[in-house]
Amino acid sequence: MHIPDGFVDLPTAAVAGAASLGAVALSVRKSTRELNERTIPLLGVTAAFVFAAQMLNFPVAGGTSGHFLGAVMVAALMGPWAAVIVLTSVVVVQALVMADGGITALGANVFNMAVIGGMVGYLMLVGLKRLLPKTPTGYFFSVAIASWLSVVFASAACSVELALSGTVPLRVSLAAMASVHMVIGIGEALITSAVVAAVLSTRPDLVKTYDLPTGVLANRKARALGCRGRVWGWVLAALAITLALAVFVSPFASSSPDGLEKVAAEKGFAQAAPQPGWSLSPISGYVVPGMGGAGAATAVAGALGTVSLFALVLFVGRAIGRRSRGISSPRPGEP
Amino acid sequence: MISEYLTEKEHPAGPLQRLDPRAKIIGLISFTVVVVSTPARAIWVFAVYAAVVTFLIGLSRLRVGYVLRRALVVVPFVIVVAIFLPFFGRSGSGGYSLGISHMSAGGLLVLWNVGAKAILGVLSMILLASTTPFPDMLAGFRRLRVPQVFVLVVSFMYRYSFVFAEELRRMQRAVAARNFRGRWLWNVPILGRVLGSLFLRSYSRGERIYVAMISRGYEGTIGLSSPAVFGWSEALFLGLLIAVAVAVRVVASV
Amino acid sequence: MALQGLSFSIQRGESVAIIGPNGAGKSTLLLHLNGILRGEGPIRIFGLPLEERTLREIRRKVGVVFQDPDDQLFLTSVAQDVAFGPSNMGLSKPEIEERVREALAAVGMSGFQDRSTHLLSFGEKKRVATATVLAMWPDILVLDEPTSNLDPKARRQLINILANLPVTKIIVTHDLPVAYEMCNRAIILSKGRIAADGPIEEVLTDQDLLEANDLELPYGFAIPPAGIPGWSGTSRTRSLSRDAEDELTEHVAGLNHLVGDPRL
Repeated sequence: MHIPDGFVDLPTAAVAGAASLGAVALSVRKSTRELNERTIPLLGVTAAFVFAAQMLNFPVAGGTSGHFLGAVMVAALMGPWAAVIVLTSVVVVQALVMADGGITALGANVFNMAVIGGMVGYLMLVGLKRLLPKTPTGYFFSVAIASWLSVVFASAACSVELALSGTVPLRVSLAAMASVHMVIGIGEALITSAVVAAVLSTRPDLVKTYDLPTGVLANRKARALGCRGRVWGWVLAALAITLALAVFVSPFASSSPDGLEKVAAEKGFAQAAPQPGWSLSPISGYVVPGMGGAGAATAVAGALGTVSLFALVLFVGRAIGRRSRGISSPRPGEP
Repeated sequence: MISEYLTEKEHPAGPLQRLDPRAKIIGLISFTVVVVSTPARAIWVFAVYAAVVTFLIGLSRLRVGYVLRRALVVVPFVIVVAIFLPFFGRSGSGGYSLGISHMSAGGLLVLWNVGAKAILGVLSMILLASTTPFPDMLAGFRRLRVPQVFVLVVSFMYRYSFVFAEELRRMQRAVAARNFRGRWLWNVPILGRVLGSLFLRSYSRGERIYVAMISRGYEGTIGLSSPAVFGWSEALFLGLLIAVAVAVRVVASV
Repeated sequence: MALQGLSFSIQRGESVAIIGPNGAGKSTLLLHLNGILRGEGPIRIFGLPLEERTLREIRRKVGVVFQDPDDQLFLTSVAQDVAFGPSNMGLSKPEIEERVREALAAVGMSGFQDRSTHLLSFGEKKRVATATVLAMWPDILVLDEPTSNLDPKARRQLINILANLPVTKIIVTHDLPVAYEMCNRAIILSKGRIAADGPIEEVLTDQDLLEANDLELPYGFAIPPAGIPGWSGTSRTRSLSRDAEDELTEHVAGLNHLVGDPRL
């Protein structure tokens, strides 16, 4: 998801960069208030941890793999401002030192990974925590869902940026990116909740977003959840994949490839292509690929799909969470 | 893997290596910005850019194999765009010709656009990273008034990512030694717990570092001294690089 | 680990080993020596009461080299890290540079100024970590397990370097041969109290005492009978020739029921 140079044009990069700059400046300002001389080494080692953890590829199926992002994890543990600072540092070093992610696309990459992951992820986590039952199970579902969404949203933002730059048509890339990241996001969700559970069971003081009483019960529950990770990993995986297929792939498949090409040709992609990457306004002169006509319909459908997916996951989470309050050892059933 | 990217023992001495990091940071970033802003049609302009970068790489005596190996990062992205190619106008009319084929000319141009820019961008950053030891680069950014929080967080991150990557490797090995084979998504929770304990270790490492710091009199600020002067050679490098890039860029769009 | 009623004084130039099993309170003591833990009840170091006002002075006088050099060396380059302590002391730039040079020379790491800390070998890291503290010109050098995890060669190098440093040393360790080689006095710490304090030969040859405190000399290791001078060369003779006149460097007194600082 580290966009290289040339994949986003300068106007898009500038807009994303301005947004990122604002978010980062806000985070620095907010965090300096709570920052003491002790926080800096701790933020630093957390950044190093995320940097190292991002090197870890997790398996998805057979030989394919995804990699950990960690934004919601840091947000859950240390709050949104720390998450933005840590993730920004990681993304900047990856661009500067490893040439992973272009320097002109830095603003976009920071926006996708640090701002969406850290801030939006945190907001979703807090929002979900309100909606879901106030139990450890509810909390872990909020963490898992927020981190899953953070990855999906980041990939969606990435494809929007690429489309605005005229690099790939929005419909195609949104469908492809989002569905791939819906699966990768499951890994993110599992890892994030496992990490949070591990921290909660030994150092509950380090989990900033966990405000339930951290008594023996909570600890036991956190541990139990860690053990059950496998089971509800299945559940989440099954859920997400089914829904991903339903929401994204079926409309995509139903309109034949020929149809897609025809739409692309009609909707001015051919005209757009000759001057990619240097128009001075993001939408200067050409129709943003996929944003007009049938494309908009699909995008709206995609958005609606995401929302309904969100609602469904929420509903299931709620149901499971509620049951776990009554039963001593809850076992989420198949969806 | 991490050490392959971040060690500086790869760096031979050269004129670029001696420059103040600020000149290289500003110069190479501006160069990349100019490259990205160039219309894709102007193929010869990209040839000039490539010549500039190649010249600088040669001047720094970087090994070709090393540079190319590191430039491979962009390949997956270019492939992704290539996969999307059939979705671009393949209507035969194109309206624009590269001289290769009318079919998917627009798509090919997009591919050329991202491929050329991505490679030039990656080469510039490799040039920056390989001629500037990381501590110097940090000092450069600090002199360019990047907020202290970032400089310090990044400095810690650089220092400890090696330690943690090594710890992570050892833990993965220990897990593998007990017959764990992560092949499928449902194996991920185990990795999650490996990362969980790595986080706890990292955090207590952070706390120990803090203790070691206050025992040396740390009171909230870290003075990083770094001798560097922005002199004539820096000005010359910066001026020439930006002038050449901007000049060909302007000619290209005329 | 709670420490209670600990008090000892060390003479200038002396090298004292603090030995004891894990959990005896060694690390807790170490963290009090330069005021990282403050405990409950009065603590005096160098006769100075340990409080906010004296902290700076005490941290300058007592330099602690921690066990894991990766905890100590947190900056990216060797020179920067060695300069960290002196710059916190508010020294001028040339002074800092001078001290960095000097401290690195003292541990045999001259010419490593611009090296990245993470590229050093473990033994080199240990030596640089010692230099970071030496650069503050401490009156007492406190070393926590200086030889742990070192291979024999690096261990030997470090021992020789440390033995030749003209500074008062407290070595916290359970490497008894090292304690024997580098120190002339041993304090056994057990359950937060001083169980024994005396010349190292006496302490280490007292089988019952060692056993009672869960300590043991390595198999095959024997304290050479008195009168056979230095199988280990210079270091022993050096540390034995202390100047007894030069009195009193340190006091740690009245640590009552210390509980770990919640910040740690």
